[in-house]
Amino acid sequence: MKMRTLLISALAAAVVPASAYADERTESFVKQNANEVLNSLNNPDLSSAERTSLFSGYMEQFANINAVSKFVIGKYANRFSPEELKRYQDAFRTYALAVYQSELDAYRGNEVVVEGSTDRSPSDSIVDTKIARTDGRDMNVRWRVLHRNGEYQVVDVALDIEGNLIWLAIEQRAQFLALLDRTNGSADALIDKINSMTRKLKSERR
Amino acid sequence: MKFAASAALAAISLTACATTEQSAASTEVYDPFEGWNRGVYQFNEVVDKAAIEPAARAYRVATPGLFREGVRNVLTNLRQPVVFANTILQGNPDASGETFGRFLINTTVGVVGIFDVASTLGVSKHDEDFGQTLGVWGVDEGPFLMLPLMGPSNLRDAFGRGVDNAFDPLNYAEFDEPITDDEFRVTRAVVGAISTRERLIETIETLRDQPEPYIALRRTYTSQREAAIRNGEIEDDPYKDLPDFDDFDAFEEEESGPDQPQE
Repeated sequence: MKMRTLLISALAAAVVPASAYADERTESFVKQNANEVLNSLNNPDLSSAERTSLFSGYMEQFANINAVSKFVIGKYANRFSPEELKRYQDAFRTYALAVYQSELDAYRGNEVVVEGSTDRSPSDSIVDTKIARTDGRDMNVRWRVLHRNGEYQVVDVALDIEGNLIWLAIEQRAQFLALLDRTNGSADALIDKINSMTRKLKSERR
Repeated sequence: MKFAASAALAAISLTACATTEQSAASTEVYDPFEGWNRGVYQFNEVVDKAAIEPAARAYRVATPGLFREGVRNVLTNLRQPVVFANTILQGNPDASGETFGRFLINTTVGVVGIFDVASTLGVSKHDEDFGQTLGVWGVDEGPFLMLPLMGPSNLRDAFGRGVDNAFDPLNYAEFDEPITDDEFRVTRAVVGAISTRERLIETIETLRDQPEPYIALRRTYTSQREAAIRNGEIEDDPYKDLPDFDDFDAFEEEESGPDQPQE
């Protein structure tokens, strides 16, 4: 009996620090990668194309764009043909990277400060950060991080707009699904829309 | 996905209202009249593009920023009696005191509200309406409604809008000439609409670029109203309704599909 109690105590002791440790590792993953991403946009020695390339490389490591691309189309991920899915994911990846670059550019060179984190489960955490802006208004950004197969990857980002947490992938999903429902699941309709948004984004950049 | 779009849409404050129980993260907004609402939305878009947006753009071109800010300040100041009444009904004495103070300071020192002196002095600004008051009292928002010309709302907020009008002392003001009363109210409404629309030019452009503007507006309006009822505080357990990532797990397995033996 004593041995059993000892084992349970040892297990409990092992589990509690492990949980706290998981938080720390997720937090440092976000801190390191988010700062690398922002710094990649702020390197004056690079050309615009080189910056975009560097930024995209970091984002591909930092975020699981493939998983997000499927999440935002929900059931249609299984209904698209393999060819449609590939075309859609290519379009989505280009769009997502363009959006991230365009929007994160406002924060380039600024430090991402981790303010805390919450574990929804051992493999699903949210890291709360603050990013200073040049206009003096700090932006609260929350990163949803999944821990899978020994790797951390961001799958969604929330902006705190006056107490309203806007999860970007969830909002995207609501609109993509509505568009697909309205067009009888037309991959082409969605791809066309995504491509038009990408074109507009790039034309606004410069 | 788009940072600015989300931020801008979240800032939409055309009207007001939301729910206390629905979570912004997971929500399917209750919209039993979606067909009708979409029709009204399209109608509003036609009217907006034909008349309201051109007027707002002309207003922006024709007036300096300081002038427009002064107009916004006056309109905001005129609403303070309604805000004050709602802070009382919500049992928020601090907000009541600050709203009363703001109204006194801006009406006098701020020259009938043209200058927001109270903000300069650090007096907090509040934006309360009867839709929020009902939300604080625990009243559910009811079905989503798209109101002709007025934009997104819901049953509770539409009712609240009527009550706010009844609270507004300026709706009972009498001027020397009877015609003047109507002129004042119509002028206030028209100037208010153009001023608001001018402030939202970029936001509505962003909205129109969305894959499904109606869905974006409906969701943003609802979640923003929830946040307004909480006075900008994040809900106690903001992550409870996040979707599980079983989907992602399944997708990850699929992603390895091409490398797996095919049947």
